[in-house]
Amino acid sequence: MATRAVIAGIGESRLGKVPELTALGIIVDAALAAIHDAGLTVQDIDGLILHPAFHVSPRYHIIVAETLGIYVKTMADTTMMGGASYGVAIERAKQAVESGLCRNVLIVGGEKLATGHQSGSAMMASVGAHNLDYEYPFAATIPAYYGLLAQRYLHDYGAEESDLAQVAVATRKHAALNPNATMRTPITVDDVLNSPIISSPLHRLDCSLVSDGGAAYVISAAGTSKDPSREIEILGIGQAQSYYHMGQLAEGHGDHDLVRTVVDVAGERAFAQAGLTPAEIDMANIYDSFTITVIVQLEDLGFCERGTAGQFIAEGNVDPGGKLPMNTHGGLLSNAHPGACGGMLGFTEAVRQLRGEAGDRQVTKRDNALVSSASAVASNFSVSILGASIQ
Amino acid sequence: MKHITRPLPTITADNEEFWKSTKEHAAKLQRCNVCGRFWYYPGPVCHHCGARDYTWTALSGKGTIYSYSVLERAKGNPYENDVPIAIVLVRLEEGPVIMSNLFDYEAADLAIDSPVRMTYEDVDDRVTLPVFLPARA
Repeated sequence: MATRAVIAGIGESRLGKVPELTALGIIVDAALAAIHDAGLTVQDIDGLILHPAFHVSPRYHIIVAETLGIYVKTMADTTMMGGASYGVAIERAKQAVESGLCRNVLIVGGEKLATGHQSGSAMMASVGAHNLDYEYPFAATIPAYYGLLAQRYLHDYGAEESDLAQVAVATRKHAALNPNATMRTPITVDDVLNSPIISSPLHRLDCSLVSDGGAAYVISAAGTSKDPSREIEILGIGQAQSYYHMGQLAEGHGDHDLVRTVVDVAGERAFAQAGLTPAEIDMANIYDSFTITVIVQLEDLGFCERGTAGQFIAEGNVDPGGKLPMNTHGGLLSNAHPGACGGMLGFTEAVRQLRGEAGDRQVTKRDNALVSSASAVASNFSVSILGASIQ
Repeated sequence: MKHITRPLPTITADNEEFWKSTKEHAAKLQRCNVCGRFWYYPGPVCHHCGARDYTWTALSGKGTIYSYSVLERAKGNPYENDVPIAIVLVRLEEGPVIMSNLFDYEAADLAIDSPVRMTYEDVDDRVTLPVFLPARA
């Protein structure tokens, strides 16, 4: 019988402000937690994926392997795709396990955005996060890119800033139930609209947090962890990339342009493999670098009609107890956003929920969960549909 | 036009003709000799059809706003003291969409589909950036 890859273990470091640890220390904490969660040892790991992100060395994955003591790997990769990296990494690890290339792949990331890195231009330049020759000279920060996306969205659909704000309000309701979330005080649409403009039409509360922290998962062949009833199925997974220069995104291609993203292509693949439709998804962790990032994904993935995501959220659909609880950990907006690995927290949360280990915020219907991750102004995506253990 | 402290582009063999044309305040882009289309940003091959046969062709300087965002907070960036800065995506009359800044505008000018015209900001001896002003009727 063919080997089937599962998520065998997950781990997180402390999140928020972690001044006492280096980024390497954060990565070690997350990695060892995930390996322990799977009931494995470091010696069982034979594949490693890590996105070097803001770390100086492009061989940072080797430094991590040397630190942890993982001498021989039969697959290593860096998936340098920003926020989408750690969804794409699961697809890569799944292929490695199911082809027999590896037995147990460790995927790990950790960053110190709150207490350890330079901000602004240094961060942009160090990673080439956006086009340094034709965009960055015009004072385009990351919030400005998403502001351009949001403004065009509002224009195309006659939507209001309050529609964007709904995402932040709903996310905070979930964060209030997560004792580890950075921001837990409930907020209103007016609170979002009264927070300072960062880059119009985006206000401070439309923007994700800046945090320290890391996470890890171990992808293994089904049945190899200490407790297969806690292994999480990967029911479907897909990725899609378009461009990142915003002018070229605006010009578009076929049915896609700046506000009609290619996440639908990634989603169609994931839904087809899982044999599920959007209406059959029990919960969703949608990558929320900004409120607009969630709005376009909810629509393009088919959870609601184009131009209606704000109303869909305002009606309570994604709230705790709603038909599609969304970002139940509080997302990047309210839980934590430690850079490129921030999207991993959507996976670790989905695994906790599907295992029934999510405490006060446990969702009741927990057969499956969709997790998305995105990068480069909502133009590069990975979409996964995870399932509860079938053991 | 107000001053903005800017990070500057790297001039290479792929784009030196473009930066030379802006330095002369007469912007040109590559136009494909096979499919007839313009593309942005400059590069060694037609973005639309893959042909490597093109002519550097003068732009009219006319365009309309595709989207905009006014940057009001930019802590840690070189231009953090120069905010607010209007960042615009302009659809050029020739087709491509270019990111730039809008200057000397009134609130009503900053709207999607509003007409704008290209002008030039001489930053230093090497770099002149194409920027935009409202094109009022």
